[in-house]
Amino acid sequence: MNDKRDFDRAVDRWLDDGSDATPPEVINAVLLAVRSTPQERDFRVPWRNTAMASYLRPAAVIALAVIASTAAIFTFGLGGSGIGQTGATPSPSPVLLARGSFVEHDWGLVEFEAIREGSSVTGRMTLAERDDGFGPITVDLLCTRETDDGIVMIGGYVTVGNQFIVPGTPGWVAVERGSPDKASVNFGSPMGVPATQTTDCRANLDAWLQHYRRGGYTLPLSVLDGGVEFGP
Amino acid sequence: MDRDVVERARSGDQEAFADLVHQISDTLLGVARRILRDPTLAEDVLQNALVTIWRKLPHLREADRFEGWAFRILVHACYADAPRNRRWASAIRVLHPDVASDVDDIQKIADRDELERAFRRLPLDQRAVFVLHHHVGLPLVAVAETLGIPDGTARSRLHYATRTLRAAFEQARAAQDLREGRPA
Repeated sequence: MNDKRDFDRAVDRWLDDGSDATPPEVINAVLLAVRSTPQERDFRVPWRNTAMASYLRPAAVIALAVIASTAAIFTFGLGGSGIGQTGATPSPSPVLLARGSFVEHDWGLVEFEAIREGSSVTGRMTLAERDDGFGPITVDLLCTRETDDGIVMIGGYVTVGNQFIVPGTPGWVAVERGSPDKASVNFGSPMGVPATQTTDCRANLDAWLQHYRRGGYTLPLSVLDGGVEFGP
Repeated sequence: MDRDVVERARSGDQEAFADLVHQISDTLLGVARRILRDPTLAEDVLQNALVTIWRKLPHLREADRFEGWAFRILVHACYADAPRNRRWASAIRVLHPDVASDVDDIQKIADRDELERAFRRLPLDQRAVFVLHHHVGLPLVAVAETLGIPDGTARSRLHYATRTLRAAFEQARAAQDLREGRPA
């Protein structure tokens, strides 16, 4: 016991050794550098023109209908051609995982549709171009994770981006099963996660989930102006 | 940390950022100095980290989490800059005869030097966890959150660091006992 106390005391003494006062020249150098260093622009530029949302909503519904019918044609095929052409092994039927069209506080008009086939996901998420010049963004959806509390995350990679969200950046939409009006959208990886991990779509979703859990809260879903529909 | 000052700095106010620098620089320097064991290098790293903090501030979601976020940037700056530095691998502490005036002082200096040598042998990620936990006083869960690593990883890094330091400490004590003719 004495040894442990001695050790703890020795560690405390050793850690307390020396001064931590920052020399003024260090502070001056930082403040000088800051004058000529621009701040990075945040990905999540605030949505400024809410009137735009209602203006775009009919167009969004039409666009969604077009996407949905195109996806249906591709996934279910026309006249028996397409899927299953090789006839080798029967594959699980594609089913809707989720789709939605909504205005998200930070990102603006978001439309997405994800089809699940076995363990894989296909689909697309689009963020419309905004009147402040941000967007459009397109994300190819490739993977999904569902939490115990019913949150479905659908992730993928940006295929059409801009200077802030470049192609190849991971992106995801999260929706809550049973709630047609809650969702969240985000891009990138949580800080501290190695860049290599982001090449794995599902690992990136896991990293985000872990990031939020460590912070002691679940995924921050917002109530939407719009809605989400879930598959079976 | 004043939330309002963080918010203003986040939106590009350089005076607010200067306030933040004055509030947090000593704490950050203390962490860097303890992880790197080199005051000059720690000052360089602090400088880089503070400029990075300024650049990235608009990405900070919650102003209340500024301090942990700043620690994370600092620790990453330590990781980035330490491998380029070789001095700390061979630094030698000089014992001043007037400081070591009695047996207790000699023992304290021996303990400290042994801890210092053992700590320098630790990988930086173990050092970071040890310093954030023992010097800053963050609970392990907060250390893990700050560094963006799982709790178990933080626990294991702390365990290995502590084990190494304790072994060095016990060795120093045993050597001292031997010199003074005390049974081990």
